[in-house]
Amino acid sequence: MNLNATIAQLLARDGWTLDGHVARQGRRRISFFTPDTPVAKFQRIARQDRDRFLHLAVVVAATAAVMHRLRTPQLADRYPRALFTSLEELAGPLRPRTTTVATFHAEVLSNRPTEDRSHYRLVFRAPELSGLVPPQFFMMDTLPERFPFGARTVNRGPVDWTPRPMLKRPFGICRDFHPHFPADYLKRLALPPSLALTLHPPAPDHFDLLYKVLPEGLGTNLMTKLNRGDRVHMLGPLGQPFDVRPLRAAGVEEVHIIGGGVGMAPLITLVEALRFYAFPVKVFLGIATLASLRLQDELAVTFGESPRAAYVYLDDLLAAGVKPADIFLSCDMARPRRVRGLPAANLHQGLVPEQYRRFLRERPVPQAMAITCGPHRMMEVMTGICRAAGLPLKVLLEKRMGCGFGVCFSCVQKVRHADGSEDYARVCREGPLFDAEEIVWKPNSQPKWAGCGCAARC
Amino acid sequence: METKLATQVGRLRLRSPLLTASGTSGSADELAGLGGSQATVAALGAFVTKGVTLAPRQGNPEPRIIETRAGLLNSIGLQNKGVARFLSEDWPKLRQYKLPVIVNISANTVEEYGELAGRLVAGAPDIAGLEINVSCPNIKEGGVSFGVDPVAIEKIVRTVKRPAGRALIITKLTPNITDITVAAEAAIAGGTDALSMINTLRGVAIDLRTQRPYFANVAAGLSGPAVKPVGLCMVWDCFAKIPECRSRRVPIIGIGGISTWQDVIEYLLAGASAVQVGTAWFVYPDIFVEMKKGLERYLAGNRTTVRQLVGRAHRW
Repeated sequence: MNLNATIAQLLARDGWTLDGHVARQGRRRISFFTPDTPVAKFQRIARQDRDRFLHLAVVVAATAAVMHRLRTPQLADRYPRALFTSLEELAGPLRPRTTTVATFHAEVLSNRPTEDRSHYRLVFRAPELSGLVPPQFFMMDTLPERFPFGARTVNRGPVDWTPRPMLKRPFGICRDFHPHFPADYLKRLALPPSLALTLHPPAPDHFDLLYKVLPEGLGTNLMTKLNRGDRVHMLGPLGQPFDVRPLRAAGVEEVHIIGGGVGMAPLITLVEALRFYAFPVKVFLGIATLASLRLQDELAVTFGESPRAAYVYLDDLLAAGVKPADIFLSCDMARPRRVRGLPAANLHQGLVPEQYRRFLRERPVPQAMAITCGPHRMMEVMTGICRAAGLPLKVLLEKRMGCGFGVCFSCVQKVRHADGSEDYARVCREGPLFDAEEIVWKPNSQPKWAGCGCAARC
Repeated sequence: METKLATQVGRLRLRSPLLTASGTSGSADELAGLGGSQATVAALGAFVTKGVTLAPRQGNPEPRIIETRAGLLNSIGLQNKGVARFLSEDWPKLRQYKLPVIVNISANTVEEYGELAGRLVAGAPDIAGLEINVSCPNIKEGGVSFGVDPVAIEKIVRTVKRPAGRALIITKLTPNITDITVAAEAAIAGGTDALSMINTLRGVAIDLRTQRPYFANVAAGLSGPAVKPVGLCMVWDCFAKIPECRSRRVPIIGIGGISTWQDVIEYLLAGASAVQVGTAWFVYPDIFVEMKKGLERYLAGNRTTVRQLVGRAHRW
């Protein structure tokens, strides 16, 4: 059969063999199924595999559209622990996914601060965002559900959308979580790279975002008051998706992710995507102090146990399957100490661009590309470093936004086109990811607290 | 059949009094990309475009927006791709909504207004109306400097009216003036078919860190719920003092901080025949659908129609 031949061809490049509908390499197995396979079959595989991810189930739909319908959170129970693809994607070119913007209420699941209360991690349930492709973002209210006078009883619906602060805030997703998949499944998942490009993970149904709270930021200060069970109005997904899959055909062998402060947050989903498609990734993280990353298990504290601290970013990266040796940590306020098995050589006291420059000098990587997000000044410096090293760089921009869907022309960035003409591009509509060489950096004009690199446009 | 929501602005019959407000409506793609865009289009009476100028405009440097208490200050500076690209790229998409389309126009000189109107009407013969922006606070020349000069307003309206043909002429007035009825009367003398009010109020924000004005142009335009009573007052004044407005020979389109269906009713009662909603749309893109629902409920409950409500608060 044509399909079998196509799959066999994809797998053969990575040393896998296909026998009937089951592919094998050593102890690893991938079984291919049609969408109408009984649910018991998927359940049996999931039970026998016990989260080792040695045996995977793949659902092959006819077209990409059908596949995206099947991999929604609503159908997650029908295909527990399955990955998805379509005949179309297996045989033809990769198809980018288009999404429509939805307005909806998300349910807050938790909202916890780090040890120094500088950052908060907000987890929420929002199946409406399941089609989001990083680095797409969303806008959210900073207050729980907006109900005006008597709305619940008289009008049976929200009518006044304008208490202060009036505007929604844009945020990138930090992590996404899939029903039936453990949070760190990417650590164990090792797909054959050629086949991986044609597979899709199940659609996530809950997400988390990391935001930085600043004294001047009214919105983020209000967000710290959100509680479990609050319903928050959102708008998304917004912005252009960045399909990482064509990078392989373009000859990119390694992707460097450089995040400054809370700018790291929206890059983590990109790391997850890159890891899913089996790209080698190196991550450079610049933070003030380790304490700003440490989350405490509040339940353990309540019961007087010694809390097992979690590190945002570091634990997220490890869960996404990045090896400790591939994580580089810069602290500019304190000497970084060894944490989570990072090699001592990967620790640096100072700013992250310094560490990245040294890395490139010591270990030039010709076929790499870099993606960065952080304070404007840092991204500008990064542009110079990558230009000198001859690496393509993409920058993830954050701006004050009004609407988020392109009508207000507020979140603009000056860009230079190939023909030399300059123009203002909307970060929300043409972005948020831009080629660094396009950007016309403004000399030191961004107020510090607006360009602090926080995904929280505070 | 005409529904209770139907209204009329000059010759233009609208199925709903809800219009998008120029400057916040984008061009065409943005609305289409929203999930509930069909319901929104169904709730609208007409689509008012973002301001169009003769030549493309880059707009003002960033930052361009800052939130205030119950409002926002913007200094966009009429970023748009110019009339040529508007006609070739946006116009075909706008027509697909099957809504009357009102194009907001802006220019630096009186002659440019005439040329712009001529090119639009020639390129898009089925254009429903032209909204003359003589009130933008964010551009250096033209804009609000025309808006406070009754002689200039009259001249511009007259210049635009000649090439406009069947298109309805709406003049958008600024609140940054001592007495808005003077400007309104000038526009009526020039032959405007309708008035829309208000554009944004001038406002300043100062950055504590740099201790300098936040916006490059210093002053920016204030919009949002904070300005609703101001807009409402100006609609009231024009309706009360100008006989043409009262007789609805020159109807008023109310703009300014409208965020709920209750605000829409207030504007109608004060004398507006239709309203434009801008800033509230950023916050909640389903706003027109919610407003339509609220209006329908109110009209049914009070056994009345939009037409009957217009200016009703003036009876005594």
